[in-house]
Amino acid sequence: MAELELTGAAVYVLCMALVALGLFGLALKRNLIKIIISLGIIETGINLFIIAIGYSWGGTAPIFTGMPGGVGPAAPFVDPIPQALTLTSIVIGASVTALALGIAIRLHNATHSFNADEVGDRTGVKP
Amino acid sequence: MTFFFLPTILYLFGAVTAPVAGTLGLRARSAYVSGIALFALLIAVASYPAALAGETYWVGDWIPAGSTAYGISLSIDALSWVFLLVITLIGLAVTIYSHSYPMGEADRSKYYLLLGLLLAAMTGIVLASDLFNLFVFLEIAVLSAVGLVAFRGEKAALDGAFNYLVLITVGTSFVLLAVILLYAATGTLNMAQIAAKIADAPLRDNLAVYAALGLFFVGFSLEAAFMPLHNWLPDAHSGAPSPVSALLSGVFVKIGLYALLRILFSVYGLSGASNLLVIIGIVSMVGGVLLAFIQTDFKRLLAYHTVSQLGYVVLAIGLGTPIGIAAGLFHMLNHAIFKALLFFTAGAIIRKLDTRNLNEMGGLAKKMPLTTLAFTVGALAISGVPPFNGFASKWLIYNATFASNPVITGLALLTSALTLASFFKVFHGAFLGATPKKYEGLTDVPLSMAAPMLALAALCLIIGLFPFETLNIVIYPALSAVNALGPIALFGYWDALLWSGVFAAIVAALWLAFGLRSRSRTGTAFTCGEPLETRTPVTHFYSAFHEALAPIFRALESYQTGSVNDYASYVIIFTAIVAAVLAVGSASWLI
Repeated sequence: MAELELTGAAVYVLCMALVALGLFGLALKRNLIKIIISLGIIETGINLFIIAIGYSWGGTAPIFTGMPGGVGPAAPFVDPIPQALTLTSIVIGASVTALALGIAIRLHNATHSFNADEVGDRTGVKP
Repeated sequence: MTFFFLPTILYLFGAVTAPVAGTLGLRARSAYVSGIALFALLIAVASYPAALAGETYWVGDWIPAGSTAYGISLSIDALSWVFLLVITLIGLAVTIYSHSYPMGEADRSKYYLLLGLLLAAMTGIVLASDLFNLFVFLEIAVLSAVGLVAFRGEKAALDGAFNYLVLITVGTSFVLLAVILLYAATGTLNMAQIAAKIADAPLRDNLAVYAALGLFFVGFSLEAAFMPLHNWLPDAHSGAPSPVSALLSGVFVKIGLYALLRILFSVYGLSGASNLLVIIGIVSMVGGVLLAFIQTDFKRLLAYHTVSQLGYVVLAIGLGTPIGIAAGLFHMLNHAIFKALLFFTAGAIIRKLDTRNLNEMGGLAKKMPLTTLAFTVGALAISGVPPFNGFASKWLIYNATFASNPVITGLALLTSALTLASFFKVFHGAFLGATPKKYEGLTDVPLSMAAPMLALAALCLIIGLFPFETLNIVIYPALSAVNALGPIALFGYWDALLWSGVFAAIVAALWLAFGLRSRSRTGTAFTCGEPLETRTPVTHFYSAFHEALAPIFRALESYQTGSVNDYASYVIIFTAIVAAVLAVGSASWLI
């Protein structure tokens, strides 16, 4: 039996599936906390995608152990830029989640509900 | 010396040091933050030569080796400068105006922190010359904007802030995904280098680059509140404190538009007409004004007018002709000024009356003459009535659309007439008529509120009187940045008398059809000597019009469900539409 191997394309598809899952969670879940979790799933999908973009199969860590001008890593190493981007993106995702949870708690204090249908209302006056 | 990026640093510095100045008292803090905002505006103005020449600042002195950029860079060109000017100008007005906005001492420190962060991040967006920093600045701006929307802590404001955060985060996620796709395709994040690398091959040959275009489009459409995705805007912009509403409505929505222009024109190097943008522009323009028409909440009405006026801008830019893009940018600049002015007057009234409901206002012209004057100028400017700045830019838009399709010009004129009618309703409801008993002791706003209002009103008049000077100095240089070089052919249709006549005729027709049938708002009935106040609510002001178009109004209102789930569904549907347009459409559909 052939060994199951995740190829590049399969990883990309899985990441995009996570993003799609999160989007449908936003559209279908009424609970504010689940909406925030859906946002987190979208962010996770994108972060994994960024890492996958920078990964090279069989590559090593992007760390130069030799002196400048000396011997670099023997094997091709993974692209460090996407890893740096992912760190920034994770920090931003954490901030978004924290802010969303903070607002959700304030909404719960005001309405005693996490249900998006009960929390939301139109403040405009109908004709 | 390179100094054009200093506004970003100044705002950041002011944001974190404002609480220190606050220990010296309220006035000291306001003077300090206003001084910083003024300094930022002066630097933006002084950066004009740098913008014309085009300058780049390499952060941390990471000078590129050969043609490869390694570090972060900020750069300015004439297009960035227009937006930098708008941010710093409205930023100064908002900072001064905030002095009299009532809030607690502890809240004030947080308020100026968030305001400074928002201003810094917006200047960062327009100056960023690599895509990832554009994304980071965008996220900083979104987080501080959401914090400011939720600032008052009311349930409606919190609800608006939550929907805003969720939907904008979807938009920024799309932007991040697009940035990564472009990085995967080109191996760089620098805009100029990406542009150079994707200029060689046809766009459709590289799937990643082509898909990124669609993701950018949806992401920034959410940011700029184009009509099918505008749902978050009225809740967020009406829930925020009034000075913040002015900043969000006047400036921040246009930052999404700036980013879209930058991506489409500078990175993808596209040019020419975009049917999708034109359609979105028309839908936003007409739909926004119809929704504004039926509002009785002062700030919601203004928020829907933002959607409508942005429709003009998008429509004009979508035409792709030099005159169209010039008209769009000019209207963007003018809208920032008169929309901030209108939100300031709304804030002044709300602060004095403690209500946003137009039905509870009345007779304010006698009590608040300065506010009335400022509101009148703003209302006439947004409706495109000469001699104010709104007329100058709308005139250009009529010219641009007339050259492409006169039907669109008709729709634009109709929207202007409806805008005027809607603001006439506000004017009649809030400023004319008898003053309700409880507002007898009302006085006008303090100087710190009146000064920014009157200054912006003066700007409306000055730009309206000198449109060609403004165009030559501010707008035309920016056209080279958006690949729209060419003669501005408008003199054939440049007939002030004709357009003023057409405009007056439409207003007169609407007036005859609907205005005369409205009832007087106050009257005295014989009640055996007992005083009785009868008032016609503003919702009944154009009752014939309301009844005639009731199904349309109901359909538009039912689109605005208030549920974040529905709004997320709209985003998914819109994304599918854009994907379909990209898949089957010719190049002229999405530029």
